[in-house]
Amino acid sequence: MDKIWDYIVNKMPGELMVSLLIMFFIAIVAIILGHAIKKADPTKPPKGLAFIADWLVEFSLNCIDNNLGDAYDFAAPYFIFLITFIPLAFMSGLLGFATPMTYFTIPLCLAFVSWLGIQLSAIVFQKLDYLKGFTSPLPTWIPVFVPINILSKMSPLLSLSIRMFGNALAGSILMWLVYWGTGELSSLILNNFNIFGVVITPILHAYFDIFSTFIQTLIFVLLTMQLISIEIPAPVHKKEKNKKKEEKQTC
Amino acid sequence: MLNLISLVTQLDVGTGLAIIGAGLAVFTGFGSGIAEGNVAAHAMDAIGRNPEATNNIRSNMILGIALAETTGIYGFAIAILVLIMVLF
Repeated sequence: MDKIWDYIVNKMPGELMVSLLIMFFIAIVAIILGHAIKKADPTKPPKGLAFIADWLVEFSLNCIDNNLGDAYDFAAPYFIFLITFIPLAFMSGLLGFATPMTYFTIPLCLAFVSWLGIQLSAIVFQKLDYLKGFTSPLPTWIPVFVPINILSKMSPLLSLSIRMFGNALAGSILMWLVYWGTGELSSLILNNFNIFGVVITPILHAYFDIFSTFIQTLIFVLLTMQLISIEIPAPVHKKEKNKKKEEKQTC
Repeated sequence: MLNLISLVTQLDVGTGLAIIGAGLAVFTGFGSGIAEGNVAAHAMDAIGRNPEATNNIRSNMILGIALAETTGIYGFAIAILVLIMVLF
């Protein structure tokens, strides 16, 4: 326990720390919001943060229904977590924290969970065909293409993680270059004050931190859904028995 | 500025060539830029032909652009790897 505490206090990289802080923040906000929404009057429209939470739940459920089908409704919390965590992790640089996305572990972990979802749904829906797919272009008794197919199964993991990591890293490196260049330029006029940087950098921050954040979030969520929907035969809906039960309950 | 110039003049030829290689790796952005332009152009064509499906086309276009962007980002990641291995 002491070793863990020592690691957290002294040796943990700032990016991991910030990502833990963001997760705590999301958890606390979610718990408070959950209590507030349980007590709220259902006849009145939601206000403030409750409205955003309502919109998030509806958006993710709609996306899931369109791409994957009702049967995937249980995955909605994961997509809501992605939609809240990725923007905060990208934009924490604006508040002066370290950007967790520039630390490869964090995009890799996010991509790994998505990859697990893809492979598990492939196993559940394809069953034996999933194993047969490893020798795919040739018949099953010629296992020549097995290593290549294993690599191609791993490729979503790499492409999802490197896309986010590369975007965040490219943004932060470009911003660092601009800060450095404008700092050198303005040091010709004034010492210790970045005159040109104040003019130029807000526009670039708006692009690299805010715009690309939303694009990356959208892409990560949509790509996860699309990659899952490639593996499953068609949008899967709940069995009719369950639906009848739900109708009875609501009546 | 002077720090960077003095750093560059201290490097040997092999390191300089490796840095040029990193620059060439970033050059993959050339291809992915053309590809992204193609995706956007065809999406605009599709919207012009079928304005009711704009929302559907837009989300698919962003997906296509993201997929086309991947190669450019791979090039960038390889360039960063080369620079880190050479300079540090």
